[in-house]
This record gives sequence, structure tokens and C-alpha cells, in this order.
Amino acid sequence: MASESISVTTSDDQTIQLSRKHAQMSQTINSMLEDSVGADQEAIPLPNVSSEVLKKVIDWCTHHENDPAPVEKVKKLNKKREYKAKNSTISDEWDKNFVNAELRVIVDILLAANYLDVKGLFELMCKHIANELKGKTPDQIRERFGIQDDLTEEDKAAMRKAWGATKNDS
Amino acid sequence: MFARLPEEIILHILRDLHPLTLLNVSRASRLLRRLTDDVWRYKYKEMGFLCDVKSPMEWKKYFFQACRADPLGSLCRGETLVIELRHELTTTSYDSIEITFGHMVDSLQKENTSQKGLLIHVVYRRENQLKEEFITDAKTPPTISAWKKAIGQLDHFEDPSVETNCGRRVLHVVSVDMTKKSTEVRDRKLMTNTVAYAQQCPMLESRCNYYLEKYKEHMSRTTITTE
Repeated sequence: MASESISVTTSDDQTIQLSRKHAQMSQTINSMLEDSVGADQEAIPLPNVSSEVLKKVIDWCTHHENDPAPVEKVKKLNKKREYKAKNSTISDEWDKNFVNAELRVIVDILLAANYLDVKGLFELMCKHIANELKGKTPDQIRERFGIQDDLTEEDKAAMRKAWGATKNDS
Repeated sequence: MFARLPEEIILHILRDLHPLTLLNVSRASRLLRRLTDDVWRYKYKEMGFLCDVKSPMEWKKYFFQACRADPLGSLCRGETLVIELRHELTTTSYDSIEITFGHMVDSLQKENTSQKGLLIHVVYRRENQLKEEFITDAKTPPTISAWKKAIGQLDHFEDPSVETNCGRRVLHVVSVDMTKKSTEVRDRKLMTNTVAYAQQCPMLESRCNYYLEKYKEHMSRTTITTE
């Protein structure tokens, strides 16, 4: 019978135990488990995830362990193909608190969710960043996300020509 | 922060953003500008075009952007382009213009069966109420003046009250209503429909002529059957 817990080794050489249920919420770990059936149960190396971030991921998996499995939605073109904004509201209060973190941590979790292929967590992090972009001027976006303004005057002139100037143009 | 993320993740974040947010994002850095350009192309293809109009004159510029993105160029005969001008996206009351290419009218079909011309059906609505409706017979090939006549109706949007009353409005070009697509030309794109908007927009003139040439070529090869 398969063990109820899985050992993983993080990028900072920490060995962490996680339940099989949580491990299987990661498609990456799940595939590794399937590939190693019958083999010696060594710790699974996760060279792209630190122990700090993995603990966050496990926290999220623990809260969402009873969620129904995400269904791959097949995109269908509406007959009218009208623009419809995707629902970007984070409704779960626990999730709202979870994403209330430093941007550096958010990015770490997003990268980990992408590497581990935890779909729900990946979508949550993307949604949070998208929400952070909303309603901000280019200047505010740069300030919030620490982006350097590398647009030349020519770039800006071309954009003004194409799109028109805004009062927030910098 | 974005420098740490692979481009495919940034694209994933950007692709569901509201177009107005996307516009601001595109102005933040070169990387974001390049990636938002990709998203624009995707959105144009899938969902039409939407933008913020800050002055009565400005909608034309955005309409031109929509033309460049080619929802018009990809219209088939029988498809309808809907352009909506709203105060806010959430309002249900708005001005709109619907342009259907290749619309056939029974009486004209009977009279003109040998012509089987391409007709442009234009419906202009003010606050959802039908204000004007007419059909332009573009025949074969459509003349520049016929296109101008059809598209000239768009000038209704230049009503000064647009600015006085609300300051900012949203131009929404919904791509096409596929339900009106006629089956016999389903797979043939009539490249006729980039409007002769050159009247006020010289930049469109060459493009317009390009499509008219395409249309002539198409008509010389194709006999359009009536439905």
C-alpha cells in the first residue's frame, strides 16, 4: 500500500513531509510519483522551490484539499463573440488573506505553483496580480511592480499617435 | 517583478484584463508593451475591440485601430459588425451602429437577380432606439461613394453632446454576429469590407483601395448566389 506521506527536498536542502493527498494536487509531483511506482521511496527533489514557499503551497493545498478537481474548460466561441470580462473577484476570504503578502512572496508562490502545476493556486496568483494592475496608471503600475521605465520618447510618441494621449501619460 | 516571470505567465495574467487596463499596462515598459500587443491581437481575433473614448473626435481614431486589427477585414458576407458607444460598459443603454455586408432584400433580389449585388445594411440606434436604417447597394464592385455613404452614418457619433454630457465614453466594436452568416460563402472571406473611411482618414485610403481591389478580384472569380 502506498505511503500516506511523501518526502520532498527543497532548493534549500530541507526535507519536508507532505500528505499524499496534497502531493497529488501538484501534477508535477503526481507524475513523479506515478513514474516511481515500485522504486525506492526517496525524497522527491524540488530544486525550484524553497522550503518557505513550499510551506505556503502546502497551506493553500490544506485549505483547498476538498475542492472539486479543476475542470479544463473548453473555450467555445459565443455566437455573438462579445467581449466579456472574466470574473476576477477573489471570493474566498481565506484566499484573500493568503494573497495579502509582499509582492516578492506572491511571485515566488506563482512560480512555484507554475513549476508544481497546482492549477487552482496558479490561477489565484494570476488573478491577484491582474487585480493589482486594475485602475492604475502606467506610472502607478511601474511603482507598484518595480518596473523601470525603459520606453524611449519615440516609443511614447508612437503610442500617443496610435492610441491618443491620456492625462496620465508620462 | 515581471522580469522574474516567464513571458507565458505574464501573458496568462494579461490576457483576461479589461482592455482599458491593458492599455495602461502597455505603457509601463517595453516588455509589457510587446506582450500586450500579443494580447491585443488575440483579443481582436476573439472578441473584437473595446476602448475608452475621451472626446467626440477620438472615437474615429479608435475605430481606425479596430480596422487595423481587422474585425472588418475578416467579415464574411452576411455577418454584422456592431459598434457600440456607451457611457459606461455596465450601462444597457447605448448608441450603436450595425453594418451588415451582403444583406439581401427580397424585392431587390427579384428585381436584380442578374446583379446579385452585395448590399450594405446600416442600422443606427440612438439610446437603443432605431434612429436610422438604410441599405446601400454596393453592387459589383462597390464604389467608394457607396462605402462613404454607408460609413458616413458614423458621423452621428460626433454629436457634441457626447462630450458635454459624459466626457468619456466607450467605443465597443463587437466583432461579428455569426448567426447571419450565409452558408454558401462561409469559407470565402469577402475582403471588401474595410470601409471607405478615407474621407476623413487619409491613412485608410490605401487600405480601402487594397480591399476594393481584393473585392474586384473576388467578384471576378465568384458568382454569389442569393439565399
